[in-house]
Amino acid sequence: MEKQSSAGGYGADGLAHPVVPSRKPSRPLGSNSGSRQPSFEALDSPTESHVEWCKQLIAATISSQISGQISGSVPPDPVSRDFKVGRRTDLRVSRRPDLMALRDGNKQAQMEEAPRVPGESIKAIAKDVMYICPFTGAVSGTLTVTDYKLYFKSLERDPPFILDVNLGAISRLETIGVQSHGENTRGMEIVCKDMRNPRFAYKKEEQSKLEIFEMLTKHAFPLSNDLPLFAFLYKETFPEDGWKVYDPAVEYKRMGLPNESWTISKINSSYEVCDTYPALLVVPTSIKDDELRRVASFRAKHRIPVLSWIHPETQATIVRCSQPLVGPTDRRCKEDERYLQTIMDANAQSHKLTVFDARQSSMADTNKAKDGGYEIESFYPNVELNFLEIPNIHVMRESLRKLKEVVYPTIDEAHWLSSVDSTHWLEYIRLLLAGAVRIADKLESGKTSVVVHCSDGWDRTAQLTSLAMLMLDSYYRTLRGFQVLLEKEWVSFGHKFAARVGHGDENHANSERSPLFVQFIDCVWQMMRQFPAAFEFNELFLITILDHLYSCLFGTFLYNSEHERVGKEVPGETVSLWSYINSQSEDFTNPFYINYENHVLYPVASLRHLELWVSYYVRWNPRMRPQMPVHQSLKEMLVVRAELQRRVEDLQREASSSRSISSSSDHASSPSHTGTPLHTTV
Amino acid sequence: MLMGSKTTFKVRQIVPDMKERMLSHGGLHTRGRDMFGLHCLPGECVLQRAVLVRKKLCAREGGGWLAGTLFCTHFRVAFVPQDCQKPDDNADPVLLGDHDVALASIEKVVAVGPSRTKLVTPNSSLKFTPEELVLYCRDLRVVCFLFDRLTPETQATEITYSIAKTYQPLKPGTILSFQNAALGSVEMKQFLSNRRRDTQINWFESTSDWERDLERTGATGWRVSAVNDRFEMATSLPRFNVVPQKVLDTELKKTFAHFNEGRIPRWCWRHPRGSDLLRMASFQNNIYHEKDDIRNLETLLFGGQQQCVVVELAEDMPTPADIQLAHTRLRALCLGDISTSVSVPDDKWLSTLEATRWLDHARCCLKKAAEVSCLLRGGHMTVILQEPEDRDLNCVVSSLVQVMCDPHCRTLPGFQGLVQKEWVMAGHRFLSRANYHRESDKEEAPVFLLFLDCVWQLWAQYPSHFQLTGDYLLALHDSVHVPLFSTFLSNCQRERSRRSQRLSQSYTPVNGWREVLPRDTSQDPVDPPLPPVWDWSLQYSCNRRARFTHPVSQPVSSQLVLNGNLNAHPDSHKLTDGAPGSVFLLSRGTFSSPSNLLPWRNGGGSGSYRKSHRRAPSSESLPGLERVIKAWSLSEPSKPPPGPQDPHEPLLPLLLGPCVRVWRDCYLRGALQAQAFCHPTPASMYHPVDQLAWEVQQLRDKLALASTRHAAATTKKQESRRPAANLNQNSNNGTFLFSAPRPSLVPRGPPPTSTPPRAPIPAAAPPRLAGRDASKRTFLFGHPADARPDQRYAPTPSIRLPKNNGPSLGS
Repeated sequence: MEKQSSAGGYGADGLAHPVVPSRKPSRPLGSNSGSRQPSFEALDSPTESHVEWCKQLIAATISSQISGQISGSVPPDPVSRDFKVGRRTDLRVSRRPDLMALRDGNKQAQMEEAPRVPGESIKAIAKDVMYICPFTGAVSGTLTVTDYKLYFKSLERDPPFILDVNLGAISRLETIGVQSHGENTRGMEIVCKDMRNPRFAYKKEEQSKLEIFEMLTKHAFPLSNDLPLFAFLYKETFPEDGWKVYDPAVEYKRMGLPNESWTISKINSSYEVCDTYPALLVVPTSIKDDELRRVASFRAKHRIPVLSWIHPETQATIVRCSQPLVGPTDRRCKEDERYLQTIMDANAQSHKLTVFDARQSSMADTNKAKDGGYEIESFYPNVELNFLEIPNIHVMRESLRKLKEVVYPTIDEAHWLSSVDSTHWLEYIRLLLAGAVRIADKLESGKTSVVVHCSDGWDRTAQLTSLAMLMLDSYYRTLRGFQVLLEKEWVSFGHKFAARVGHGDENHANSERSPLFVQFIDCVWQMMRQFPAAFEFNELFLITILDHLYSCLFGTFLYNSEHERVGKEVPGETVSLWSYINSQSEDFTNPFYINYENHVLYPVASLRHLELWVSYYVRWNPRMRPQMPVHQSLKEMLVVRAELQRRVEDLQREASSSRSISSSSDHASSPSHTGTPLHTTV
Repeated sequence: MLMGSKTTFKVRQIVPDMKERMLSHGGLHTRGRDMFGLHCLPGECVLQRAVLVRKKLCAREGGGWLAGTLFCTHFRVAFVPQDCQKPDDNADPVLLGDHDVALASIEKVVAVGPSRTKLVTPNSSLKFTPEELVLYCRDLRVVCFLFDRLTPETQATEITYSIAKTYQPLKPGTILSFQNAALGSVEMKQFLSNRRRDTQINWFESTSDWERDLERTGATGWRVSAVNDRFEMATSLPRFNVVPQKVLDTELKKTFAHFNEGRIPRWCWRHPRGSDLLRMASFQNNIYHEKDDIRNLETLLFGGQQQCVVVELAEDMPTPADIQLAHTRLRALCLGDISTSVSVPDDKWLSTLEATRWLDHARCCLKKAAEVSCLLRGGHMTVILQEPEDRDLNCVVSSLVQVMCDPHCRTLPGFQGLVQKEWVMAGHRFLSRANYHRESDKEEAPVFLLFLDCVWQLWAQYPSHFQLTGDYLLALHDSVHVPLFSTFLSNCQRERSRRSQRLSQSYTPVNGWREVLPRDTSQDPVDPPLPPVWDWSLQYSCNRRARFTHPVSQPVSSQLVLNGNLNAHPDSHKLTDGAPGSVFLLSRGTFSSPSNLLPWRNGGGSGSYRKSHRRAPSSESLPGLERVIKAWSLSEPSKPPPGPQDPHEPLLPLLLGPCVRVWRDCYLRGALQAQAFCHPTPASMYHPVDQLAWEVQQLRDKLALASTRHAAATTKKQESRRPAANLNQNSNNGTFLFSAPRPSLVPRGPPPTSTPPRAPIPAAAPPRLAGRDASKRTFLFGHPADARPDQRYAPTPSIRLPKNNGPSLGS
């Protein structure tokens, strides 16, 4: 293992990208991998323990059942390594003596203690709690509640059974009847946002057990109980600072902005024009500030059309905004009309502008009656309006709810496909991908600028613009670039993460909640499946993002807008998810990444070629054993190649220095290998 | 609808009489003749040619378009890419090039015009010049050719007619003319007759073949019986059958009558833990059981074991008719309505897929095979698969069990030997099930294709445990639809050997290779000698064959002796607690011991038997057996992928809904949506793994060269040379991921000058791309999972964009 890690150190990162275009900053990714220690030695560093903890989270229930063989004498094959390390973490943490007082001090109790992240404190511990596992039957052990997670460990089984749930992932807590487990037993069901509902049973009479439920309620919903989100308590430090990943000025500069047609406006620097937009906006140069304000008053929530992405060659742009406030009386706004005309004029390649309204046309009409609406083509010359017919957030929420019923806890083998069909989840994924493909194609082939909006321009709009940008711009397909994409299109442009996810809020029935971000990540996964070598990141990266969307461990996805985040001092007070990811980037990289610079990816948006993301949605089912880790053997192969490559070079150098052979033609051919697009970063 | 068009002039005689053509060109048809760039087979004549045609590449091939010339010969539709290398005139003929379609595997020909599409039949005529020609194949491929504006219109029309007239929908008699077209020429016959059989495969044709397998699996107490040498005992059984040593041939002869079609219990395989797998047909009940017979029958069932489990496969398994129905539905779903090129609506895809029940059937077979594998792992019993006829699902389950349990069967030769043993020799009715002659419509059922699907499911779940690849399974799948191979053209060994007796002995010697009698080779043009399907170099180019094996497969240690003494797993349940002589029935997932399971133990004649055993079959060990099966379903989640350290742990498939998946590469090759967006690209394509494999090989070669050169050059630096030598040594020991002998991957040339096996490799691409025009933006189109996007580069601007690109986006 050590050999692997160190071999990965001299990653061909720099070599793999012989040409880095000027509009793209060179990625510093490989630079830290050389200095990083192999994960085995570094176990005791907080970062490492965190990685392992996160891996455990992903493996969570699976690990407990899989690791049976791992504790045995098998050689450390790549499959079991993760889990093995995870076990070591447990042991390490359980040596801590500070909680001995809380316990009888026997060994078993020690073993059942929860590992903690820095800043995490234990709030309650209950023994002899029974976890009613839907897969392998009930198991009893110790339940620990901290201000960050719920941790259940049982030594009844070998290896110990561990269940780990982030409090942030809890949607609601319910008491359930568990008569079958004996009298005086209370039951508790933890309904989670991440597609599982663990159930526990515990004895009623003991005081401490009551405490558990209350503590859980209190810390699962801190905002409803006047407590801070855990992200503000989390004290881990990482070598990388994730808050520096996205600098709007740098990102716009990468795109070649400002230029003669577009300028970076500071009009919203104090969030006065639009409180859900970022401070820096890219708008047409020729539009004056007071015109902007008038446009803002004509757009829902003042979300004016601003540039999201510009094509490096054709200057065609993706512009995002909210719906125009046309209303039932067909109001007009001269400034808005001129504004769109200016956007069109900024692109010399086309004399048209396409507006993509993500909504269903019927819903758009309904909105029009409610003072919203859509661009009326007769008022906007040369503007073409298309509806993408994507249903709203409530439909998506319902779809995911149905999907959860299908995948958890049991799967109906015989009707699996039709029940997935009946959730329509994949159909909506298809709609989104198809919409994004249309946008990307309009830009790429049609060389036409597009305006994308839905109602408020923070849900479907963010999904569509970011997917289209992912297709068009290979930078966003890198590990860093994807972080920038999320920071830009989702976080800074005010996707209402707090409302959609409901961080720390007990009102689980809030109709504002909707899994739009999950849906977007699913689309990215679908693209990744269709273009396995086009993305620098891997599936673990996407799953990690989704886990921390709920976890409240990092500040990245907290609150609804940049304005709120600045007000709460999120960047100063919390840790960014990217700090963690980028400190550990080799775990999240795709060994077979090939930088398809300037390639546009058009995923096939057909249900036949979409698949349910089983390794995310069905991951709690222990029967969904992770697939054979082919990528692992591929990584090993890369190491072998690197090794051989080195030896060949050594020998050739030696051979040539000995000057015993006249021909050097073979030597000349050897450097061609360095140009290979395959990463050796492992 | 198509026949009825009134205004058209009927059959146009664009294709002169075929015989005439063949005669007229006969003298020229020498081996390796090159006709307009097409490397013809001996005796093959080109009927029509169209230039400037582009072939739509499917996602597997990298997508996009490939420019070249389209040919219609009287045997295949051939496509020669314009930049393809000049074929080597001395190379052996290859039946199908990488882009070719055998006429016999074409199902429908559709011409697409500017405004309409039309199904073209031999009798129909076109009222428009086709812009696009779509061939729907029986193997679920959809091959699409696009005519350029510069393609002469007559050529486009004529070649469409030629194909439509010659492809010959299957009907009695057409197979023979197809076979003749492909293999009938004198040169071809000569060539086929001189072909050597692959000695790596166990053909199970001779006594020694069977003995080799007995030895390989360490099975003792069994012998090869030649009692059926003349097919007198059972016509559908092979010449040689493996039976318990204790039963003499004279005794054995009497047992045939007790089984349907005389298909007595025969040994298939021994599990390293000592259990034996057997298969048999159902019992003949209306027969009197003599005492001696009973003893022999019991011996046949038990072999040397104490317990016996009969696995009933008729009960809860799909019937061949079910399989046929499911396959028909699956075809319809995947190909859509061929005549109108309209595909099934996308929105109900999953539900419709489920309704075909194809995946259910695959799951069912896998589940049964997994149960049997677990039973065998339990140790020390015989497990007998019983099916009324013993010719369909017994083949599926017995071979699946071996694929799961025996690593040897996951290698290429091992798998081919397995198919020989459990399908070809065991008398699976390939000919009737494939229904090539359209004479056995009721019998038609793609049982073998279901088996291939099941193997694919296993492969997809454990790719690194297989030496063979999905590409191999796909090739085998496609070959089933080309009626040229002796493997699939008979129902049993008897038919096969009859046929070959009529012909030369070219492919069916009884005891190893037999000299071909010269007089046989040139006679009788009606029946060409048919090659076995395993002669892959005859069918496919080396490029395609190179993909048949996994570049990273673990080397299978063939010297491993499976002697039946492998220690039982510590946690395995003790099963020997049942009374000796117990027989159990496994049906619908539960065990029982019904009194009428063995007809002779039931009633009259069985008295003697009961006396000989202290107890009647008890249900005492039932719980033990149940546990084995249950343990599987429980432990299923906790099983890690069996590591190389224990090759005998069965590969138990996951059967949960999401785990049994549709074989996209096979069934959805023709899905129209997948081809919706395509751009022209060069044909160079690589999987990163292939490339990596190639690179590692290159490096090894370099290393070997460097070190030998070094050795020759200097003797001073001994130490520094050693690591290199060690490295090579290691690779031979299988420490590295590549087993050293990989003849298919890298052409064995002088190492330093060897070129990549398949055209330019991506390794060279990025610099090239950069050097040309770094700002040139290009396109990638999505496709199913194992898409190979790395193979696409800048579009060639000279090639016209496909016309369906724009509208399909706008719609």
